[in-house]
Amino acid sequence: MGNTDMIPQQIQMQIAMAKKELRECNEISQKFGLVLTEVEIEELVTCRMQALKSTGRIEFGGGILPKLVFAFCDSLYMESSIYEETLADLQDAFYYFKNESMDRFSDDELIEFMVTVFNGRAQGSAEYLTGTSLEALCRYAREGWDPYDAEDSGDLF
Amino acid sequence: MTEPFGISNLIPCRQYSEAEYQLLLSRLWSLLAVQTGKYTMGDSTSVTAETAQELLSSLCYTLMLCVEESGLTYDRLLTDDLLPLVKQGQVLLMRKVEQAKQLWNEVCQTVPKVPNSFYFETIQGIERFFQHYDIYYFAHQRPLDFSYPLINQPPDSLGGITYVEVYLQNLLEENVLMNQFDYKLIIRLLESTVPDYHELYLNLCEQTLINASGLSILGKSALPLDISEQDRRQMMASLVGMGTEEMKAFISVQIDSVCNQLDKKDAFTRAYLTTLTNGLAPRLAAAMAAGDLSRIFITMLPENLIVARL
Repeated sequence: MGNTDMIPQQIQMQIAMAKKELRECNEISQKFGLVLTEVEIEELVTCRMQALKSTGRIEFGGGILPKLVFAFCDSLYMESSIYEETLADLQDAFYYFKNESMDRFSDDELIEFMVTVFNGRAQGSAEYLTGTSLEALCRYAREGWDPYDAEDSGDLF
Repeated sequence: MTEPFGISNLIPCRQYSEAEYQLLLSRLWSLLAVQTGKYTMGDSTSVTAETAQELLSSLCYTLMLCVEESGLTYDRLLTDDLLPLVKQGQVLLMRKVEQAKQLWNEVCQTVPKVPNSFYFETIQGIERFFQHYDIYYFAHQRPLDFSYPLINQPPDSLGGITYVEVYLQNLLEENVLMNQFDYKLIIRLLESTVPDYHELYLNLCEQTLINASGLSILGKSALPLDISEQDRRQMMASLVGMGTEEMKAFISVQIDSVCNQLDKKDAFTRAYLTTLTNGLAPRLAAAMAAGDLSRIFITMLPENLIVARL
């Protein structure tokens, strides 16, 4: 084990757990007209493994997707036609900004911020969320808040 | 950061079969999942690979300690529940920390009156290490600011408190040896060797023991520490024709003689000074070949030329 490379058996277990949890999420999200098909679940789980690898993170259990589903499924801006794609983008952003903020925010804090901005200033644009507000949040985490930077600080305080 | 502890530390002397190895990996992975959950206190489902590596290294170090100090066999890692073994290891770690603190106190009580910035910074660094040492998540980590060089440095393969323990034992040994001599003579000897010794990265005890063993070659008392040019000529006559191995054996006898004079006859001291012997013999052989022992057995400068640092 050199030393934290995941062994195949563990990978398979994680994938199975992640799929199971996403299927269970459908029971809640379907109330908002949002359902993930088996193909979409497969793709999201694959995206998760790739995102973890590209960000150099290790995750146990099923992953962050269920939390993202519960947090965003009631958003007015979440449409069924782009549900899977948006979740994938949010998942990528989540792992990326966990690193960028040097793990200073808990999962719940980061997701809460993402939901607030997504439903607010970003008006459902994951691109806006990741390109501006999350960057500002992580700058704040690394360097402290700049009171003169009104543009970026609007979402923070 | 030291080379991370890992699986290899848990399979030191035996070959696992492939199935056993995979089983060990699987069990450690599950243990790491539990440990990571504790570390993040449930606040995060993921950690960086570097953090996971550190947590795993800490677990491996703790398990290794548990196995070795509890008299268990490594096979138990394949059969026993690992969490209780980790907790057992942590209890051992707490005990070792207390023992190391006691050693540190003894070191502080025996600090020689010979100034050196690296020495004192290391003593302070060890105190800081005790304040920050984390036996639960980063037990394997060694302090980075142990800069004072010992005659016998602990092996790099040691981790965490194990390294600190050995370091302190060896440092205490050197303190006790140095305190057998008049500190003003030690200072004078060091000033004669390297005037800025108090600011340099060097061992304070080594030259004292080298000169002491030189006086022993001449059948003299080791305590005065000073060696004259005439003394060196006599020494050369004693050493002429010796190869490195013969010289090693000869110096070892002289070191033993010094230990007897200082009434330090224990096995630890003798074993400790074997390292000094092994390092000195090739230097001495080279110096004999060059016909000049003045850089090994130092003549003290006259007192009026020394700016004593007390």
